[in-house]
Amino acid sequence: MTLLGIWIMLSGIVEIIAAFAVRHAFDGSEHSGRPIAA
Amino acid sequence: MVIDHVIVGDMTVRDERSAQLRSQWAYLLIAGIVSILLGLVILAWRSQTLYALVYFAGAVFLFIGILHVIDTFVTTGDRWLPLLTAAVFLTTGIIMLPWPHVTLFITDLLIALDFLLWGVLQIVKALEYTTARLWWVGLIAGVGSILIACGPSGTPGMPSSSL
Repeated sequence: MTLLGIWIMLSGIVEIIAAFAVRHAFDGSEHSGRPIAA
Repeated sequence: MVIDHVIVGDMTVRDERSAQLRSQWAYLLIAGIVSILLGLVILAWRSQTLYALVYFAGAVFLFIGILHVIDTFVTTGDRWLPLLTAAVFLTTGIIMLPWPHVTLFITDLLIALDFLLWGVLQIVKALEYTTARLWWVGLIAGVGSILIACGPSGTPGMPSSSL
């Protein structure tokens, strides 16, 4: 259960990082000129 | 993906997927926070969450057993297979719910046996190929596996708690 707890916590941290990465990547994407797909 | 606006010169691409992702970042954030809280709960109450898992699994087994009982009345072909499956699931669920410690003890014995067999196999394989590079890694892994198997086998619930 220790490993399970650590695993779930780590996956939570990864999800939070992914959330901020998504927000950053698509922040105002309609006008930002960021390349999303080439 | 529906691309409705593409300017190749400055690489501006607007699509539905990006807007969808943009709107859903908060869900990812909430899922992450919930996961961290769940992980903390598991770490803080390891034994209790372990027993909660057993109760949950027992309830699921009972539910599946009941579904198979219904299946025996509904099915048109041979009824012995769903009946047998129902009997196995119901018996397991009925044992798991009132005796979770017995369930954990048997599960831990099986886990320990698995580690023991895997460890012996690793050591045998490592000693068989001593000329190979890094053969001793298998030896260390095997010894470690046997130590894990021997350690918790005397204390029911321990391997599941520690793993």
